[in-house]
Amino acid sequence: MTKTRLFYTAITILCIVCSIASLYIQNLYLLRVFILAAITAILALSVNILVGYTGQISLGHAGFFGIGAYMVGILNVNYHLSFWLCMVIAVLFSGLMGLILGLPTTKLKGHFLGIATLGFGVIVNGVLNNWMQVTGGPQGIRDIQSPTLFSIPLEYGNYFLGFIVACLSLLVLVIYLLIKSPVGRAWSCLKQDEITAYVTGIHVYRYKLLAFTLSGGIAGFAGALFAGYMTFISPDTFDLNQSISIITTVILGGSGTIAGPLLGTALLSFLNEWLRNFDELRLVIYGVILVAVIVFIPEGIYPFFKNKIISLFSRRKRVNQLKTSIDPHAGKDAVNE
Amino acid sequence: MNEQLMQVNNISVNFGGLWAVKSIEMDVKKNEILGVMGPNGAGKSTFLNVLSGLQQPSEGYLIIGTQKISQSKPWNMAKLGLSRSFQTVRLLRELNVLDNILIGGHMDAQKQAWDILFRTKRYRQKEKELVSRADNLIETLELSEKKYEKISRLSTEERRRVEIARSLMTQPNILLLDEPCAGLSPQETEEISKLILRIKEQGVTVILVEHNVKMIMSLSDRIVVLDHGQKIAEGTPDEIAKHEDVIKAYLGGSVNA
Ligand SMILES: Nc1ncnc2c1ncn2[C@@H]1O[C@H](COP(=O)(O)OP(=O)(O)O)[C@@H](O)[C@H]1O
Ligand SMILES: [Mg+2]
Repeated sequence: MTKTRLFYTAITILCIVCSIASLYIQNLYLLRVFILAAITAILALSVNILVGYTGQISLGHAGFFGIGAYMVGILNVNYHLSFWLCMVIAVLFSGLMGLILGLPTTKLKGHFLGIATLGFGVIVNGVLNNWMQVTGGPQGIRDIQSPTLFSIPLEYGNYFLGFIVACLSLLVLVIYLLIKSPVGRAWSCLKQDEITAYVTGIHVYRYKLLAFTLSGGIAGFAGALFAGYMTFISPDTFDLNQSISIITTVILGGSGTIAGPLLGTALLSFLNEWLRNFDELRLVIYGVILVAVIVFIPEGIYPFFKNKIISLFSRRKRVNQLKTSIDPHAGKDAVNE
Repeated sequence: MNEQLMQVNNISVNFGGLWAVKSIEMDVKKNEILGVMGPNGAGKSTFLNVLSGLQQPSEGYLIIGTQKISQSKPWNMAKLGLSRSFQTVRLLRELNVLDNILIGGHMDAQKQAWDILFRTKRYRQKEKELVSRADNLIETLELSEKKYEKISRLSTEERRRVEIARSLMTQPNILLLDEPCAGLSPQETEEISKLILRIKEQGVTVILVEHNVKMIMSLSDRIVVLDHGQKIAEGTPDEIAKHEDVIKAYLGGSVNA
């Protein structure tokens, strides 16, 4: 109970500090990197619901991301709806797409599910590229209105960053609450053993569909934010590369944890920017680092270091106990251990 | 005492031409231990799979209370008050004992979005209640010392007890146990036998599938014997011990003692 309270307090303080700090960043380049990283983090959290918590896979998440962004673009530019209304519609619609993609996939597993989701991503990208009248084709959509929040113009990077950090924090909190709830328990059960889920009365399909819907909706939310920030969107942001890079971020950081996707996003964003110094070699180095991490730390960076630290502490404890059990006056507990 | 809980009507299961279970009929009464025995491959596990909704019967139906069930979604049988353990234990290895048992509380948990996101009072109360129910089970099943231990670090016998605790957590009317003593030492078998009797005293009906003839004879109020998917005998342990077909099924041909 105190641990939960501590967590709440820490998160609240962190998000307030971040939101305020974001107002003081002067460097425009840095501001842009942070905002895009925050959007990537939201995407990573959304994939993590499927991959990390429910044991499903999604190789087409850029599809939801794109649907969210284009819903905002199309409704805002062509139909002049306000950004916030567009955003709500975008989230609902991409959630619905998640539900629809989830329907057949409740019967599919493993590779087949991978291929189905991959197909979804490719189809969405195809539609964005080719349905000229609506999506503008490869040229994309320009002049999307920047959102204004309670008369704060979010077109200024500092304000946008503050806003998006607040969104991200709220999302982390919601996911945390879900994971600790009976819903999270049901997800972890059907991830590890579906038959156990059946015999304990867990409506397996319903919980899988819930995961798909939430995941799709959150990715759509990231898309809407992206459209609002960039004010220009085109199909090449929402391609297969994007899907793969999101899932890599999650696996690299550590799927099935909250800190993992966030850490993965931070590291990869930093790496991406740093590698700009290397021009052509950039992609090669990037690839080598990714492969190295996945080969040597398959469980992901965050769980790896967490376990390292835990085992370090417990080893120290054991050494202490050995010492005390040699002592003739050692306490009874130490000997019993 | 003789109130009927479940009626099994003409249940058959066909696996590509092989009748693993053929035309089984039986009544399950309240608060009894109903033994199901039979040699290896007799169809005992398949029969339990039908009762727990994991296997759809090719023919026949069940009557539970007033409901007639012929094809059922697997998660519905738990809601109808049937819970089970498996011949090879099924637990979530990465989780600890408490979390595994809590999974069994799923049906009673407060799951509305509003409650979860705002941690309403009734939600927190319910969660607390589930944890204390799990705690009680951990205590009755003598798992207190292992409460926070991961499943992968438990012995076979402890795992069996955790699985039974998880089943009891669903508050079943009928508990199905598939060879709960497989792979256990005689002493551990004794412990589990005592546990089964205690479960019965709590008012839970037990369907006990067992290989160990001595154990099933001593525990059961009634026994049904299966062979090649068919029911060959039914009666009290004494009647079964004298039954000719049973003696033949066990001594003639099959290798089981
Ligand atoms: N999924 C399945 N597909 C095909 N045959 C099966 C399947 N499950 C069980 N069987 C067959 O059904 C028969 C009964 O098996 P089972 O119910 O496991 O017996 P028991 O539990 O009494 O040892 C066996 O002959 C077994 O080979
Ligand atoms: Mg069996």
